[in-house]
Amino acid sequence: MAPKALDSCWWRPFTVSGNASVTYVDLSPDTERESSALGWLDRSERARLERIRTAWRRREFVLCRSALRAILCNRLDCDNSQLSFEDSEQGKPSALVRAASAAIDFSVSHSGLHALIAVVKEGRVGIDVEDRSIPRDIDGAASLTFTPVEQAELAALGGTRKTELFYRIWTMKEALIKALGVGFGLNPSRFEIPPAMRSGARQCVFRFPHLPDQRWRLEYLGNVDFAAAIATEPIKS
Amino acid sequence: MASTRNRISQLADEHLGLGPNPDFDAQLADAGVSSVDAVAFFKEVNEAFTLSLQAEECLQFRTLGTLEAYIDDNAD
Repeated sequence: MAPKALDSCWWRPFTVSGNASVTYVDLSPDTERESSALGWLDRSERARLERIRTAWRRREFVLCRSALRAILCNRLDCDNSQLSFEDSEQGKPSALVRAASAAIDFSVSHSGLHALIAVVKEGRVGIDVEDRSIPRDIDGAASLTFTPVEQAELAALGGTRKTELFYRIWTMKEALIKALGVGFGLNPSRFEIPPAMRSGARQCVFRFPHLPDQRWRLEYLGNVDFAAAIATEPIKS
Repeated sequence: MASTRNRISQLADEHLGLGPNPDFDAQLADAGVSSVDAVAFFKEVNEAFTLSLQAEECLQFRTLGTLEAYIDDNAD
């Protein structure tokens, strides 16, 4: 199937961060888009879709997965029918072309009506997006995932400033964990987001305390619509 | 005392919006539970069952059924 014309797509270029290209996916309800997107999915993805109970979660999956397929087919110069996916033990998906591992890494995140897809040809990448408008127990989530210093900073704030800081820290932690490829096998309360990034800086070099020799490029991508962050592995030249 | 399943159902209804009779075999992600919601939910589970699950342990429970089995084996 040929990619749709860009003006009729539900995905569009969002930004470039380090060596990663980031695509925005619009998850707004649209039956025509969802029907078209369904045509991109293979048999196993359709079976997975059947198991999803909620309509909005089905929409999220079909629109995101079809956009991911279109992006990867373009980057890997392959046909949609040649592309498949497999999950690691930690649940991180990877791409296969004609059943062989493809030299590409990607990360997908969605929240509310927004999704972001990050793709790199070398190294690893992790991305996270969160819709700040969805009511959530941010104190409860922070109590298990933030360091004592991060929790104290959060507790000192209220209202939108508190929400903003929570999602700023959360998205950066989740992007880093996803880039590392271990899921929440790494406790997010055991590493701290640098103070400058918590207070508004957009970009830094990050090192996990237990992996001091590995550098990560961490960038905050949030805007008025959502919080988001991306972590990429700098390429050794 | 309410059964483990009943207490988990009540917490899942209150904190995840899964309704009074959630599917214990469904993947939480497929039910639309975000990682933020999941971590906050497990904080409530810790308090309700006197557990001390850490974030990295919480998200290994992909379904309510695996959580129920763990609690039956480990809760006080």
